[in-house]
Amino acid sequence: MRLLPAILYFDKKRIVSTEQPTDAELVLQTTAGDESAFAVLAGRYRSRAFSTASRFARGKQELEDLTQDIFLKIWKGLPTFREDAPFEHWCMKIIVRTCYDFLRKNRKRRENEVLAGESTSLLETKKADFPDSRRKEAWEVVHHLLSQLNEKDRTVVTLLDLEERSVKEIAQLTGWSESNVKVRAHRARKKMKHLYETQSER
Amino acid sequence: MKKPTFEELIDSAKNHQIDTSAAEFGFETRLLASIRELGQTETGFLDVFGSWLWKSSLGLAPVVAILITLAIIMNGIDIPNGTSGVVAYAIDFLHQPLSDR
Repeated sequence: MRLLPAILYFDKKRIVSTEQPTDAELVLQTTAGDESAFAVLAGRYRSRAFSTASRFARGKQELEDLTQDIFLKIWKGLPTFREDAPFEHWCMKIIVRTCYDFLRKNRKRRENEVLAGESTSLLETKKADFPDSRRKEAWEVVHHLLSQLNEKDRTVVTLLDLEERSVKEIAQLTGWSESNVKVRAHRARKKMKHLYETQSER
Repeated sequence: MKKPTFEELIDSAKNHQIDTSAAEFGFETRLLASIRELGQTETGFLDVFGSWLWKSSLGLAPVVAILITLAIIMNGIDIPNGTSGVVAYAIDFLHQPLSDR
């Protein structure tokens, strides 16, 4: 049992602790008007948001816009956040739903891109060595196939196959039933496989 | 080179790590700037009410148009053709004999 907090030193009448504040504490500080607390919170979930958003966005600018949109929604939603579920789950729900909304909003433009045959991603790989470039190539093909699916199917396949999340988790994140997720995943994979086989034959 | 199967393709794509470090650089700073900007442009009650009123009035435009048409039909008001009409009738001008003008 911990009896004393990890107090290290006194900084002019103010006690400075080295303990990291919890997410709930940061949420409280943010809702009380402390912007820097939100910056810490954003820093904690930034990589996760970027990782998921990068599967939906194309190019650096689109990725930046999408991620900023995610965190602005989190910021606006903080007063409604209840501590009955971990902040991480709440945050992931917003990330996934914002990505889905992003696909819906940009449906028309994506359809035009597919028709124009544009399939290359503007995002760069860390290294240009051979296995990485093959993975990048595979990702670009998958991205192109995904862009030919509807938003719901695309969201399910991205979360299930590329982010390796469970059906149960996806159902919680999206608010769709587990059977709906399973059926969508099955249908979407079948369609992607068909597209892959027919398009590469040409 | 042998074409990968669909499953192999998905597997390779899954293992592809997209480098987002350039987009992540200075993200919190940009985010806080956006939040401050958002706070400055936050709309007040009057803005919201005014906007709602304007949108409602636009929505009511077809209803108003229908009511006006119905009123015209029911009251038998003719569209002025130069020799008759509401305005001419009101000023009682065109009903005067030609010699009186």
